[in-house]
This record gives sequence, C-alpha cells and structure tokens, in this order.
Amino acid sequence: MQVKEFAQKTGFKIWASEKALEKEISGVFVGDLLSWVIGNSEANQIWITVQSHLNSVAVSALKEISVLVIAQDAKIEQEVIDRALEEDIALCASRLSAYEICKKCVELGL
Amino acid sequence: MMADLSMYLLDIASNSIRAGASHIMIRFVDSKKKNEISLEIRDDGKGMDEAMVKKVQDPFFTTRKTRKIGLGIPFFKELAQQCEGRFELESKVNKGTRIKCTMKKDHWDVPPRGDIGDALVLALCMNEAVHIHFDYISDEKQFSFDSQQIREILGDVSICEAEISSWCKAYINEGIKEEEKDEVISGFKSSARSDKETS
Repeated sequence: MQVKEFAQKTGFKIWASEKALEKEISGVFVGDLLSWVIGNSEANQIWITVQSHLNSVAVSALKEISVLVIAQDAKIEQEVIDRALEEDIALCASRLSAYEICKKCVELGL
Repeated sequence: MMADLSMYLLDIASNSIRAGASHIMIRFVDSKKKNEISLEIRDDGKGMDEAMVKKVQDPFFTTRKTRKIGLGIPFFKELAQQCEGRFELESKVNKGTRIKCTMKKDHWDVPPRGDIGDALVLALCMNEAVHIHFDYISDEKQFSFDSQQIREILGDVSICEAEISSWCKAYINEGIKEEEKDEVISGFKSSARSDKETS
C-alpha cells in the first residue's frame, strides 16, 4: 500500500511532500522509546508513537520510515511539520490511541 | 529517548573520548530533597565553537552523513525537556565541553538508572589512557570512583581485564546503591501525575 492510500483510507490528518505520498508501506511499528525504535523498526514501516519531538522525525529519516503517525493528539510543533516535509517523511496526526490506530492498520491488511 | 540513564552516560562520555579528552569528570546527582536528578559530563577535549554547539543539538546534523551516530545529544536534550528539567551545553575550542541534563526526580518519564557501573567501565576501556572521575551525590551519601587511583594500585595490569572490570562495575554499582526505603506504591509520583493532568 502507498502512503497516499493509507492517508485516504484512514482519514488521518497528513502533512507530506509529493515524494512522501508515493512511498510504499511494508508494515507497522509501535513504540515511544526512540533508541528502541532505532534498534528494531524496519525501513518503509509506519511508526506509531506519542513522541512528537523533532527527534522522532530524525529517527524516521534514519530508519527510512514511510509514515510517522502521532497518536492521541500529542502536540506537534510547526518545526516538526516543516522538517518532516523537508525530509520527505509523511507525518500523520490522529486523536486515536496507538492501539486503535493498530486496529485500523490491521483492517487495511497491513 | 533511551532505555536508561547509563546509555546516555555512555553515549556522552564516548563523545568526550572521540573529542580527544584526557580527563572526563562525571557527576551524577540524585536528590529527593531537591526533587532533582542530574547527570553532568565535563571534558578537556577539543571543544566546539558556537556554531558547532548549535549543530550538535540538531538531530539532523550527523544523521545524514554518518548515520547511526549523533543522536546522543539531541536525545539527552529531549530527556531534559520531557522530564521538566533543563539542558546545558557549553563548550570552548581547545578547552573542552560541559554538558548537563537535569530532570525533575518525580517526573513519570525519568528513565531508570540502568547499569551505571557497566557504562563507566565501557567508557574507560574505550581508551585506557583517559582519566575518568565519577562523583555520585544523593541526600544520603556520596561516592567517588577515580580511574587514576585504580590504575595506581593496579600498576601494569589493565583495568579492562575481565576480573578487574567486573570488580569495578560491582564497586561502582554498590557505591551508588540507595537503601530501598522509598515508598514504592504509596504517593508514588503523585505530584508528577497531577502536574500532567493539569497541563
């Protein structure tokens, strides 16, 4: 599934460059401990977290994450949005919990 | 964010070693009275100019070129922000660097200490010529570990020999251990909790 399709089907708010929208999604990773995500996530995954710090965008770039999903309306600073756009990382925001977002991913066959 | 404080310690101390430091002073303060935990690392390495000090706090600075490294300082800074503390980074070219992360002790997101003894010994064994001095200060006790003193006793024996290094680890961890008088459940971090709910 492409990022574009993921955004359409979930209806999540999304900030993404054209290039980011075209990326493929290979699976899902959930976690809030950044070092853990660095060690265990895989390229092209969706990453669901409540950590909306700029470091999350850096980790996404490092690990080639396709979509960074910020759960439960955690506050997202403008700087984070700008950087995600610049790095071609799709950034999504949802009021749902990480668990609810996972359920949506399962429904989508991810 | 990293799993525990020892990982931050090791990461920052290895920056000092890479910066060519010959002395590294580490100060770990854990005070219930002040409701503060802080970790400070000072070195006499090559230091950084003002522009560089800004850059190393940017998580995108090193990740692009060298990958995998360079997130230690941004993570350390995030830790301070997340735990309602403060982050300090000062550096002077050819003089050295001082980096400090202070956290509110009863904040929910303060990570566990982890294996501090192990982190110190790992740092020591990255470059045996480096002198590492460690101070631990709490309301109850003070503890110091000085690699120079250990070396004087050891003579030609390496501090990284399995037996010596495991002794050092155990000695440090014993030295910084606090009696478990903490009220683990009752009133557990209640103030932090209410802070969060109101914010």
